[in-house]
Formats: sequence, C-alpha cells, structure tokens
Amino acid sequence: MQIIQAIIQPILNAGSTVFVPLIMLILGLVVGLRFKDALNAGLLTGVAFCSVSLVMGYMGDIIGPVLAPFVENTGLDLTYVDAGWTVASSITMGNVVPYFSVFPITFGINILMLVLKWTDTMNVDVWNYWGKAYTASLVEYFSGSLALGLAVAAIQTVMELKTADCMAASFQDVTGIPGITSTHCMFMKGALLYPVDQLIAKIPGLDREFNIDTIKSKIGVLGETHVVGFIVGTIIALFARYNLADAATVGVKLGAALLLFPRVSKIFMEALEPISDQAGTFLREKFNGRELNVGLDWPFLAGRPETWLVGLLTVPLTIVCMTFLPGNHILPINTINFTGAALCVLVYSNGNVLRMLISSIIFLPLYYITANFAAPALTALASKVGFHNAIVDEYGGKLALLGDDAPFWRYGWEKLFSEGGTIIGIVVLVVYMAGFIYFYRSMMKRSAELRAKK
Amino acid sequence: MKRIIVACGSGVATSQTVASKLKRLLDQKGVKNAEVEAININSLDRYVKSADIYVAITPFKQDDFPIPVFSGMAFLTGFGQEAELKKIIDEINK
Repeated sequence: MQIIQAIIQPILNAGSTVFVPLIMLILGLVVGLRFKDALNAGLLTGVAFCSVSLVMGYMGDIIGPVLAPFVENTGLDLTYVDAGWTVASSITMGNVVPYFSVFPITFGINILMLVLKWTDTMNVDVWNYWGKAYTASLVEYFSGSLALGLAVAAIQTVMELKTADCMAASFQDVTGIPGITSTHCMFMKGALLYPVDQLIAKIPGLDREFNIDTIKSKIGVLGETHVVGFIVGTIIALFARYNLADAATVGVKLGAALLLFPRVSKIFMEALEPISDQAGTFLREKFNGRELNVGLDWPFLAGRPETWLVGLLTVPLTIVCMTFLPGNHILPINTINFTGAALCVLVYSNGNVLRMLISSIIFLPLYYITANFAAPALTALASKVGFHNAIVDEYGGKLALLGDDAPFWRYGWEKLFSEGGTIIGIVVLVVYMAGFIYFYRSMMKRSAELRAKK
Repeated sequence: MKRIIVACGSGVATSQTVASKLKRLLDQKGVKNAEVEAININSLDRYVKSADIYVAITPFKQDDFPIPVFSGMAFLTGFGQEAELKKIIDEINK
C-alpha cells in the first residue's frame, strides 16, 4: 500500500499537467492503441493543456490591467471575463476524475441503450464528452458530491441520445446528408427553445426570404476571431481611457489570444482522434446491419449562413445586456455575436432568420443570468486544475462562459444544490423536463412527417 | 506538397478530427506529399486561395470553389470512407 502511495502521490501532486497525459495514455491502451500511439496521445493532451493555459495566462495579462480603469470610467462592474468554450473545455479536461469517469459512463449508456433499442443513435463524438464532464464538475462544485455530478452527467447522456433520435430526420432534411444526427448538448435546450419557437411561429409575416449570400461575404471578416478580438479589445481599452495607440495594442494582443485559443485547442483533438476512431469502429462493427444514425458534433450546420447573420444581428443586444442587465458582471469578449440559440432553431424552422433572431433576443438575457451564476464555479475549477491567470490572481476578476451550450440545464442543477436555491432549481428542472417531453414528442412527429414526404 | 484544408465552425474539433484521420489514412497508404490543416469556416475564403484541396463537412456546391472539394462526412461516419479517400489520393497524385 505504502509503495503504491509512494508512486501515486507525487503524480497526484504534480497536478493535471502530468495526470491528464497519464490517464490518456492508459485510456489509449485500454481501447487498443499501440503503446507508441497511446503515449503520443497522452503527451499531446498534456501539451494541449499547457498550451491553452499559456494563452489563457497571456489573455489574463492583457485584459487584467484594463478591468479596473474600465470599471472606474464606465461605472459598469464588469469583471467576469468571458473566457470562451475552448478554455472551459481545457479546464474540464484537466479535472481528471470527472472527465475520465465520463468516458465509460457515456460509452456504456450508449451501448446499453442501443442493445435495449431505446435509441437509434450511436454517438461517435468523443470530443464532446467534455460537455458531460463539465456538467459533472459543476454539480460536484455545488453539491460537494462527485457521485451526484456523474449521475447528472448520465442523465444528460440519455437526454442527448433522445434528442439525437428525435432530431435526426430534421438534421438530415436541413443538410441533405443521410444517416447523421447530432449528440451535441446544445440541441437539448430545444426543451425550452422549441415551445417558445412554436409560439413565435404563430406571429404572421415571419416567413420572409433574405438574400443571405450577399450578406455572407460581408460577414466573412467579422467571423474571424482575431478581427473580433481586435475590435472588442480596442473598444474596451478606449472605454478604460487608454490612448488610441495603447488601446490598439490591447486590441491586437486580444486578437492574438482569440486566434490562438482554437489553434492550440485543436491539439486536444489530435490526441483524441485515434481514441474517437476506435470507439466509432467498435460501435459500427457491433451494430452492423442495423439502421442507425451517427451522432456527430454540430459543425455540419456551420455552412448555413443564416446562423452567422443572426449572430451579427445580435451584437447590439449583447452590448445592451452587458450594460443594462441587473446583476451582470460579464464582459462578453468571446460571445459578442450570439449564435447559441439560432443554431438550435435553425434545425426545425428550416433556417427561418426571423424566428432564429426572435428566439436569440428572448434567450440571450437568460444566457447572461445563468453564466453569471456559474462564473464562480468555473473560476474555482480553473484554480483547482492549475489554470492560473492575472484576471483572477491579481485583479480580482472571474472567468465566465457566456456561450455555455447547455446553460438552463446546468443552471437548474446548480441552483438545486446551492444554498437557498433549491426551490428555483426544482422549478427550472421541472419546466425543463416538461418542455423536453413536449419537444421530444413534437420532433418525433415532425420526423414521421418528413420521412413520409420522402 | 499538396495542401489540404478541412473546415468546421471553429477549426478545433470536427475539422481536426477529419484532418487527423485523413492524415493518418494518407500515411498508411504511403501518401507523403500532402499536408492537412483544420481551419475555421469563417476563414475559408482566405485559405482557399493557397490550398489545393478542400474537404468539406457541410453540404457544398463544387462550382462555388476554385479548388476541388471532397466530402469529409465519410471520415466522420466511416461510411464510404475508402471511396472518398481514393478520390482524394487520385487528386493529390494528379
């Protein structure tokens, strides 16, 4: 026992930088990779973790000093920096125990549900296991119980598969790609967005055609993260009364940070790809001959320009919410154009821009409220896994995730387990589950209609 | 050296999955004269100018692009993967 502890304790003490690669190496060997490939996957994961941490540190050094003069000169108490999902995913992957516990849970539930014929979806998107681990980490933070966190992650896995089942025909209809669906947690929130959209759809005159292709070429530049970073950084610094040259310096540096986040985050994916491939191959071979939908990440919808158009149209609202929403502390540097609601509505409205926009307007304030509530938890998680940066350590700010993909679901559980929030938590979760059942049944009906039309 | 780009919504997850897989499959087939890069779809117009092949995850029309486009979906779902890989290799060796 003492010998085991003598070996394990230093590794635990070394923190996520060593622990994550080690577990990834073991995971790689478990799924049957050659040692050389498993070792490479493990090391790459550690490298990715360090790289994202490095860019986060850089961003902290840029934004941290701007916060105090910004608050002083604008009177807006905005000290929660919207770090974006690339940072949130890295932090989650660094939270080793929930993250790697989610692997057997997610994979196991999928196989069990396939065998019992409770689902027709095989999820091959190992990358988004982090979304379940993030829920588990948040629930663990608020409840103090890892077991509860993993239980909620398990429920989420079931709901994601059910969502993928009921939306499959709609995904295939809207993209024209056969046999696919999405198991990404962002579509679960159809539980709330779908009923609201059904009300919106009753408004007359929303069925209007937009000449999107001409707009698309104009959006192009604004969709590039370094351009967004430059504009946002410069404006924030100008409000902090920096002179133009200094403000532009902040802008370019923030542009560098926002360009680097996806560049270094994809190292995670290089590490995960062989494992993801093994999982997919296993599922395909085991369930060969049965007509199943392949559950993917959402980007097969990324070619639809409607989403980016709605994102651009929401920019003024993002700023209005930032400025006037009571209790807001979030500086939305990563989610200035809000597409989270639009992507979901796109699927069942056939890309109806006005319906997507109205849903975005209704739900964006709720994104702010839930992200404000979760920020202390994300900040604590970051510190726990060794993600140090000046925003938190020196300037008293926090990290936030405004673009959370399952904000209402997570908020319900966070509230449920937080002091004095139990009743709100129960209400949110009951409404959510009721909405989810309505959403599931309606989408199944829609699927049947779409299949009949063919 | 042929330059292959794969695009998705962020240039992080889906595109990198396809890029890593394609790179691995090309290596296995002994195709060495190609590099594969994952990019953000919003930067596509810029990258298309310097790339030789575009592997798309979204539905596409070949006419919209100055370079040959192939479907990345096969590499995600595993169905029709060999056929799509062969087409890409033929294009690389052209």
